[in-house]
Amino acid sequence: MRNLAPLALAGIFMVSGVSGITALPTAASAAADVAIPIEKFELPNGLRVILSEDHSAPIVSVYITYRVGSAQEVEGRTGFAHLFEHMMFNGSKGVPEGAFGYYVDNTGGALNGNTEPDRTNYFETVPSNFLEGMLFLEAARMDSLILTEESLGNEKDVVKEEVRQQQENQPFAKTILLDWPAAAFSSWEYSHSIYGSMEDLSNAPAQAFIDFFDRYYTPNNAVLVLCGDFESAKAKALVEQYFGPLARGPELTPGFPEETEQTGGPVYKEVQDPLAPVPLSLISFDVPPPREKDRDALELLATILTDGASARLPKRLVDDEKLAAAVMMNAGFPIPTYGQGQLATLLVASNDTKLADLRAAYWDELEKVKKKGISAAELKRAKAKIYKDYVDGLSKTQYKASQLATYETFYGGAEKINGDYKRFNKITAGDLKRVANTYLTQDRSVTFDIVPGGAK
Amino acid sequence: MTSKNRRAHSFAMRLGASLGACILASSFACKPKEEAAPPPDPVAEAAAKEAAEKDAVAKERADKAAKKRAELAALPPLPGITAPSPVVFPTPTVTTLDNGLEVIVLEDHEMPVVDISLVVKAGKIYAPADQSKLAELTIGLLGEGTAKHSKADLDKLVDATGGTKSERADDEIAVLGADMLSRDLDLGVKLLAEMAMTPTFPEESMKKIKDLLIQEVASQKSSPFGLALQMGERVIYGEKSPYGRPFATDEEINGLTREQVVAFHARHYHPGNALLVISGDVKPDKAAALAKKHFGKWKAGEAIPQPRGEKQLASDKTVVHLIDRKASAQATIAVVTGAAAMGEPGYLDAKILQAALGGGLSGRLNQVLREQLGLTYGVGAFHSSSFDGAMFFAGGSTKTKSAGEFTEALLDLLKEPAKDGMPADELGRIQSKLSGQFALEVEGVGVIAGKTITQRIFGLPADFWERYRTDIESATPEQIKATSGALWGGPVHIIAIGKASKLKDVLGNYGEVRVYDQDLKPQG
Repeated sequence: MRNLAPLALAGIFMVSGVSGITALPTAASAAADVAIPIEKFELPNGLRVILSEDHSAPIVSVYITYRVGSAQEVEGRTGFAHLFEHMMFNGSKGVPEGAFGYYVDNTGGALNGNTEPDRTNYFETVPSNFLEGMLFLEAARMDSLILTEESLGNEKDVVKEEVRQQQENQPFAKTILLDWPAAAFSSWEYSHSIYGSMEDLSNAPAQAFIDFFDRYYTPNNAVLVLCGDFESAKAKALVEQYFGPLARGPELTPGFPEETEQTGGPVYKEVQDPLAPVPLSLISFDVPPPREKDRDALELLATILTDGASARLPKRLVDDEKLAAAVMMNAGFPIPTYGQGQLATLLVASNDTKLADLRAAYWDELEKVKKKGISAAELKRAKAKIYKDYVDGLSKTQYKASQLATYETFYGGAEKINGDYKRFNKITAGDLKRVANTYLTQDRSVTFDIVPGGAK
Repeated sequence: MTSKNRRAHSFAMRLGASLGACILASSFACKPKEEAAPPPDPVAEAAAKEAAEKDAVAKERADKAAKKRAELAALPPLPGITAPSPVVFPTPTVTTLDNGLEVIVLEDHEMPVVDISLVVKAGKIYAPADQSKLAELTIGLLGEGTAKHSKADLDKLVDATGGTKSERADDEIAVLGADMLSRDLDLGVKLLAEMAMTPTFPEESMKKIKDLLIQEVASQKSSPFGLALQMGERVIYGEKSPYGRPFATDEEINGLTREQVVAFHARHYHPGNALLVISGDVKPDKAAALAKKHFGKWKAGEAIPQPRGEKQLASDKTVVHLIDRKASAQATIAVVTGAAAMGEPGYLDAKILQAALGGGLSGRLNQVLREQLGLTYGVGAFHSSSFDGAMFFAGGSTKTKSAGEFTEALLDLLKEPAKDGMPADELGRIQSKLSGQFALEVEGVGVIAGKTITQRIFGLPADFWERYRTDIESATPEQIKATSGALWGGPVHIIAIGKASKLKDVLGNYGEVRVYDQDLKPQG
């Protein structure tokens, strides 16, 4: 067990000396269970803050999630959230252009950011003696990011190179990042490219970016997580010092796009990809948002079907019939959404296998689940996998910070992370059979076959 | 200065000298005649003008970068920096079984998990040259069934615990791994022992693993970075080195036989040629007892000499290895040179240069190529060690039409520390950075186990990692300048991946261009 704070173990509320701070109960289950300490408070300006002490390594992760992603963009102004993922490292008041990366690099730490439809994340993991410096940097850019035509122009060029490198120059990427979301999601908000239109980026004036920043990059639209080697009381004081003076932003009530379930029969597309080394099939289905009961059942079913070499699909498709080189099935993949989502399967054909034969075997296995359900042993194995994933998820500082930010932003509170694997224990074999029949049907499927070839 | 610039300069100098000679001679012997003045050579003039313009651009770029570096160096320190918490590199507990198997235990009781690795000196370099995928095929087949358990049974046993098992071959080592909850340690050690000691190498699994290896090669050929890496190793280590072999063909992979696998296994998989590393929530005495219980009957074998390639001769000229990837949407450009391997003199200097040039957003390469010029999404540098030396690799991707500008700037940036030295304050900053980075690198026993394995396999001093930060901090600006000169002072290899028809001419400015297809076969 990892550094459980005694109070958290006792499962009681406490009120700290800092105004407005409430520590939440953690590890409410048996003491033998794996859990992490969590303290949570909100500043008067609306910034929600999560602290999780862990002294097992002399490092700290500072992780900020802004509740803005490509889904908050409007037509004609796409690519903004992703461009900000670049601009946020550029310069702010007291932190000249280039200084953010310079400061973090000099600590020996790592920084990065990522953009999704519903959020953007920024994070640094550094030796723990630089905690205050990271709070200073994060607060500075939340307060006063510098946005000029010149600085925007350079980052627009960098983003265009990123698109060429990550989307245009990698096998499968163009279909998976551009064509597939357009076909799988019905709403404009989820179906347009996260990178956005390069034309939109070129056309947008600096003022449009300034307005976007002022609206979304505010304390009351963000969650700040600190994880690692610090003393919570000192960390709270530092958060107050650096983020307390920041002005509250406009009141937003971010929701999720309205997705219409696919009912018009299967969608099938074959795409030739001159960069692809092997044929690959991507099959997806509309599924409910994360943590809804049916979504949990579908995630458990995906674990049963593909997680581990003895799982049904790898055993049959890879080992027994040797039709596939690899099989993967995941919800929230390849594009994570926190509203309605997708459950996608990737089938990589083995040499000389036709994708149609591989898909036929895949559908046959799904039909078996729909008719006969799954065995008690399969259910038990999947639950063991989920428990192991839970333990692993609490093992690394940055990963832990990332999960806490997700829980606080979308799952009703960071404190729900402890023991959360137990929600899968309630799912029965009957639930799995039902969701397979309800959601994983040919009529509701979107299939992309990506085959090597095409114009070079 | 680029080779083209050099050529243009020397041409201009020759031209100037001959003109001067004529003028000198004319004052004595020739009666000056207006019409006797040599007509201007438009080609030479254009070349000289182009060279001068390029030099001016390079100077402006370097001055701007130096100014930016000075501005950053003058920044106030971050607020509130406190004394660093100590970084503890745990001491492994080492025991040796009677059959020679070394058992290394790294304790960490933070989480109820264990990482078990059976490391065998049977990596890719130990495979014969004409059976270059034999090591990977062998380790892949170890997971396909044992005398006691079929593959399906092995998978069921592991999956039931929630854990995973893995098989992989790196260059020097092959690793059987298990990642389990600590309550399943006994099962994990038992299954790894079975897989190593009593594999059945089922014939029906051969095709499956071979197919995966064929796909792996295809995948590497389809990736710009995969191609650059393979070409880099070939030119640095040479095709006769086990590190520089060509891509395995489908025929070569399909031609591997079960007998070859059985023989490779018999020769390389024995306790004296292996390490059992158990890290995580385990006590050393328990780990040693389990090792004895499951590996105690493993029979000893003969020592295997370490394969060495013929030392590659340094190239006497810069060569551009241009790989024609017709569907490329951009150009990938890298500069590779031979370097000192881990433990050799100069290794830590190269590590410092890697951090100064390629380390993150503030590295010199990203500062200029990404931040100043907007030419790339990202550019980086890495340094990979082998038993035959090391390769220093620096590069990134850019628009096809920017390939010349990118290459020019990349070469200038690499050569800068040898030309101008590295300011002491920058060196100090990089030393602190590497020191801090070490704190991040030792999070988690899996990473620490990896470092321990590297120390053992490369025969590094026992205190290599304990001394690492002190040794990094002792490097001097003079050392860095000398190492930089050794790396980039002479000819280098430039590797380019993209549309050859659009890159060949522009890259010809930097050296002799050799064009290859995506199989790395030379093209006319």
